[in-house]
Amino acid sequence: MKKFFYILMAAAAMTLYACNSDGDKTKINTVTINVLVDNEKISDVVDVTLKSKSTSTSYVASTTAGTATFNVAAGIYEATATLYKESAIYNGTNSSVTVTDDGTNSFNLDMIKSTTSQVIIKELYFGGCMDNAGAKHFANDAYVTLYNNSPVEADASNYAFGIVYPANSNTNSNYRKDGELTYTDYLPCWNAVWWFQSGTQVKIPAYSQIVIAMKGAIDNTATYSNSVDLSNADYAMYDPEVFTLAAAYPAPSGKIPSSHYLKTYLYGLGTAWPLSNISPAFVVFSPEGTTAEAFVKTASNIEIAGNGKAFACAKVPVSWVMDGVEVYSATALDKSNKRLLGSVDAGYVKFTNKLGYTVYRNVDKDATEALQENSGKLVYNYAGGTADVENGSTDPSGIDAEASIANGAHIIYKDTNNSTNDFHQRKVASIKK
Amino acid sequence: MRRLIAIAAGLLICLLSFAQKYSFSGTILNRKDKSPVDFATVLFVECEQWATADANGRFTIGNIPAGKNTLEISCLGYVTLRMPVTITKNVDVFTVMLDEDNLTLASAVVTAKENESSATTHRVMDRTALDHVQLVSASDISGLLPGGVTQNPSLTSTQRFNLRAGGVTESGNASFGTAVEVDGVRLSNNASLSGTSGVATNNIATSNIESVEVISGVPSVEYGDVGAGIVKLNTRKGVTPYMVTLTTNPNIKQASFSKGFGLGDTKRKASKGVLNVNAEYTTSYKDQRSPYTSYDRKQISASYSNTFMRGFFEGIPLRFTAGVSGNLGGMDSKADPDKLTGTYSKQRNNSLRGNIEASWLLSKPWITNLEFKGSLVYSDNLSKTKDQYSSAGGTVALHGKEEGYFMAQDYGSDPDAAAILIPRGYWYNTMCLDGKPFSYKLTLKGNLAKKIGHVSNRIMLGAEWNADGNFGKGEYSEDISTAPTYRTYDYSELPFMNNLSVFLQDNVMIPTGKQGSVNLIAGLRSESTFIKGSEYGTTSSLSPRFNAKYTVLEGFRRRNKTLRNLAFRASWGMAVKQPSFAILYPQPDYSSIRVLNPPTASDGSAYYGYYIKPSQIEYNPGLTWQRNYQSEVGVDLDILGTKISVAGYWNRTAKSFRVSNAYDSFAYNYTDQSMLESCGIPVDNRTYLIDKSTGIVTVVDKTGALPSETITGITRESLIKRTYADNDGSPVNRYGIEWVIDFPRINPVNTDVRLDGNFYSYKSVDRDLLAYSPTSQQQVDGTPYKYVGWYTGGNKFANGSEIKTVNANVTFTTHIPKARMILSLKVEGALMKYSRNLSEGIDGEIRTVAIPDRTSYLPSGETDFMDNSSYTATYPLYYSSYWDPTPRPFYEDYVKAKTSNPQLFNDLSALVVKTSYVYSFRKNYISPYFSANFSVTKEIGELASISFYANNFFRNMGQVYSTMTKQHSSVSNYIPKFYYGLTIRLKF
Repeated sequence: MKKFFYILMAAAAMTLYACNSDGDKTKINTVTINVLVDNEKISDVVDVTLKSKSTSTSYVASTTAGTATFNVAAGIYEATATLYKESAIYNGTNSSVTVTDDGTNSFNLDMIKSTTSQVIIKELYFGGCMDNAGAKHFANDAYVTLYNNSPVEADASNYAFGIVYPANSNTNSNYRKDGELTYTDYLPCWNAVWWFQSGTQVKIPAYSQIVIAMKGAIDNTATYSNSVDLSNADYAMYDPEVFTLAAAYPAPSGKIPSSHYLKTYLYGLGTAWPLSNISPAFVVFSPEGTTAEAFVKTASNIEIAGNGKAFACAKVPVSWVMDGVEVYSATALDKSNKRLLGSVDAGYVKFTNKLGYTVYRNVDKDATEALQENSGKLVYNYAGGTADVENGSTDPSGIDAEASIANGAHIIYKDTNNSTNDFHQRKVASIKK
Repeated sequence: MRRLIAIAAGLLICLLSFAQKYSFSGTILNRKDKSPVDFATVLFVECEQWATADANGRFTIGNIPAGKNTLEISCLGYVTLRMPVTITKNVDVFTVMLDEDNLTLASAVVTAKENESSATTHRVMDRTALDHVQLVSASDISGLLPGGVTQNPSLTSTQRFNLRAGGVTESGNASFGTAVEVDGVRLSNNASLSGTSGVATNNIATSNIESVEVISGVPSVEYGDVGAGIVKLNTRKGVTPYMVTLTTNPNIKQASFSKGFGLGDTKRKASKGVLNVNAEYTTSYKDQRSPYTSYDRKQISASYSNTFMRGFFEGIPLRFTAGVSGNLGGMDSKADPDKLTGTYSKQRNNSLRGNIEASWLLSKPWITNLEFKGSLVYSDNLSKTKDQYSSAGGTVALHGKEEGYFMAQDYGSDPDAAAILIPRGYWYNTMCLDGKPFSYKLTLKGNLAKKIGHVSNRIMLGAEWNADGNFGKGEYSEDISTAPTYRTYDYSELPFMNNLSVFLQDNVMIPTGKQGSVNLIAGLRSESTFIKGSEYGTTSSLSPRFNAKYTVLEGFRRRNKTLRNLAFRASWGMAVKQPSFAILYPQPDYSSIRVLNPPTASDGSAYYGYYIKPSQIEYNPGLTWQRNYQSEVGVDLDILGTKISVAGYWNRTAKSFRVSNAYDSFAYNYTDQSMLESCGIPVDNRTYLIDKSTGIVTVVDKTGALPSETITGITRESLIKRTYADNDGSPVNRYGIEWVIDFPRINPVNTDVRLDGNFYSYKSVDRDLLAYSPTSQQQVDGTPYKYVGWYTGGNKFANGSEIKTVNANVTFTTHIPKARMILSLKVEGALMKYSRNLSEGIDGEIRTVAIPDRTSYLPSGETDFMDNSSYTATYPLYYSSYWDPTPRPFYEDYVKAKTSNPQLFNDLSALVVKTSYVYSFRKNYISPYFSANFSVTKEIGELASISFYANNFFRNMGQVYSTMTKQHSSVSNYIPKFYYGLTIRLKF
């Protein structure tokens, strides 16, 4: 008790001393931060954060004509800013903002377009499941979940979806020569790509998602209890005049408006989009200066990866790719090869099909925990992974993303462009309640 | 036809001259124990006089003209004896010793023997050779032919003969043109609706095959309905002990029993004949690790043969043979535990074959022999597949054959609905494909053998009637309520294809000097095909055939000379192949387009509307029967005991059968999902009606709360494919050389060395203008594709290919008669294996060009796309469209569209066929490779024999190099994997 008293007295003395020093005030300096993109001042309004390296005190100011103005004391600061624009993320960090009492205190903050995306693939369910008797494999159910990994609304209207050749990770391909991929600046998207209908605004609110049924946009659980109910999907890949296989493309549930049907164009062969149920290389891309439809309907953008139209691939520039996930078949790891370029996905996620498993993104623990609004809402001890099975995996963050979201938390998923770090094999599809 | 008969009559009159005749009597004894050999057949070849030995081995033949003749004595279980005989008087006592055919004889061989008396290439494999290779499927004998490649035995894949031709990828339906006969019974695949392939040999029991004859050269005109090559399987006929055979190898088990019963004599000492019976059970597993999917063959056969020589037949003997053979079996996966419980796939391969044959030695001045043959073959090829089906949503099965728009209906509400809606869930269904081909043949043939001076003349005149039909029901389901999409097509309603043939042949043998002769054979076969009730009506053809053989030197007297035998032969002939039902009556196409896809209701109810457009069988008035022109030259010689036989051949197949495509324009009404958005009736309350003729959709409120709404839809313009019987206007050319060199025995080691091989060349370039349209594809504007490409030789990057191969085998056969053992080592070598894709246009047309990269569609300017490594694009010569069916030159419009009409350019690009490998047209030489096969047969006294073989017993697992891909690959793609088998035969 005595000790506590002495500490309290000392603290009071220091406070009195500070009060007594009011006459000798610290000088406040005007600091300007010029936010630049490609050496030009940014026209958008951006919130710039200036954080003191000594006190960790942060200040936020919006730009006006590309410049944010602060009034701070001398010291060393770090200026940061993030801009979400046209589905891309621009990040800028200047760790050398040294404010002096006599200086000009004008600094530049260069914004770099990030290779990570605002909208990411949160989940890819493609492996199917066993039927009720455990006898036959059902794989006419597949979906992808796009997630807005940012605090601002994303526009995905121009997005398109493709699968990179070959269908499976362990299939031979003449895109490989001497162990290396022959392409460096594009991805060969096989057979067909899908896009949202023209005029349909696809907006994804902050930290929210859309579910796109890629096959079987109905309640598949009525027949296959291990499957998923896609009758409530937000969108559906459904273009029955192009892909006619009714087993893969039953008429979608009435809950999905026809304006939410994605369209496609078949430049290859077949009656269904050949999304692998074993080990696809799946990409989401956003065409620049054109549309996905116009791009794939131009013959010169299509190349044949083998003798015959069955091997037709669209050469999608890698700079268009927003996100991708490379899946390796767990039963053929030694024979599997990369299809996605390192700039899209430097790793892979191991997967075992037929068991209802899904590929699910890991949580960025630090970033998620750093969000103040998540305080008390995060659920830990995640047990949805498959680390307990051969070639399985789980989310090392330990955060149960779905439970946390249900709890009102905002999840920031890991996005290092490396599936080995970013994804794990989840035991059950997240939409399966 | 009248002209033919007149020619035949003229020839007969010329030959009705009388010459001095003698009789020839003798006794046939077993050399070993001097016991009589009864039922032996004695034949004077040139005059065609024959007799059968009685129980005492005695025989008498009359009416033998004076002069040289060839005596041939054969009997089951004995070595056939063939010897020249000069008849100058009646011969009353002539004793012949026959050797039992077993491994104590130095003459035993385990390779194919040349038929030296034939004027064309004709090879024979006897029981010793067949036992040595442990014949399981008749087609396994292909490895015994010159340059033949050994295959591991299997019955779970379809086995066919394919003489003087390559694989199934070659044009010209080679296997379809190879005729197969069992005891003279033609096995026809004409009534098959599954294609134009040769008859499968899987269901032919092999345990009672005594010999196999392979006629690769120009056959006699008595053989019709053939392309190139005839394989004749002859079963055992004659008295035999009880014989039991047990065969095993990793995938096949076989057991058989056979016996030839002598039925004794009548009270008048006339023979009651011989009854041969054979029973065989063979099972072949697809995979030895999972012995459930298997092919079974359970066959019983019986044949009766007798020669009537007493009473009425005294001096004019009549030989009678009747046989029947029944087979039960086929593929079966029913017991496979790896499959889903309750599901199976079974395919029957049952057959019933029957034949009678009578040969009556009339010995009249105007006729020597009269032969009658009758045969029938009935097969039951019913296949049944029971599958489990399941669906997350309602699915539709289409059965309607009528044109129009139809909503899918529940089976309960309309069992005859054109489109049946199967509710979501699980169900089983058994689908059947019932094919029951039937064929019969009747042949009446008269021979006249006449000797005019030293010239032997044998005339044959015959007529043949054969017919093919099918009693099968085609495809059907045991439960149509849950059956998948199919349309009935009852094979039994298809008309029979009948064929009447008349043939005439003269076979002249002219001696030249003391040691030579000239054999000339000329024949003509007239065939008329009648298809009653079909627009094809009657089709006629003439097939002339000629064979000539000049034997310069031969005979016993030259056995110590350097050149002991020298003969040249040449043949030319034409043969006509009747079509298969798959050509005559191709299954109609049905275009079934889903024209209405309303949303699935929350209770899972689905509704679909379809437009069905049938395209009926197209009659092609220009269809002609496939024909084969065959030429051959050969030389046979014997130098110091080294027998050399070389034959060169050239075969040209013209007008080969195929099915071609045509495209018609049509339009239909389509109701898009977005058009239903405006409908105010809640999805769960809707039902849909569709007008059968207009396709206009009416949405009805099930609750009756809201009025019905009509959705007009939009018109879609499209193309529909139909198929029709056609001939390939471009010929298929094959030529080659076959050689066999048998060196004299190396006596110190009892070893024979044989070199055999073949050079084979194939070339075919299809120059017909063939239509193709990717009708399942969409245009750039999102509507169905509307252009048709007209390609020289079809829409493949190559419209032809050339192949050249050299296969050479060396066989070392060590035969130790005292040990009754024969061992053989056969090294098979592929010295050259060359192939190349070809793309050739008509009259200088540029069909294929080099393109600079894989995304280009227009030429790079590089002129040589064949030898230079480049990506290629192949263009149609013309194109037509939905709007204008008149073909327009493609390339000109295509290039123009590149700048003036990008949409057209992109749409027409779908007709451009590109390669993505720079080596697609490169020469492909596969580096030489080898395989060694070892076989041994050992007789254990008279009681038993045992055979063992090991294929690829050096276990060659090396690699070969391809000059096309410039890569190595495993040699296992070309040679049989290491395999072995054992057979034990017991006699008692």
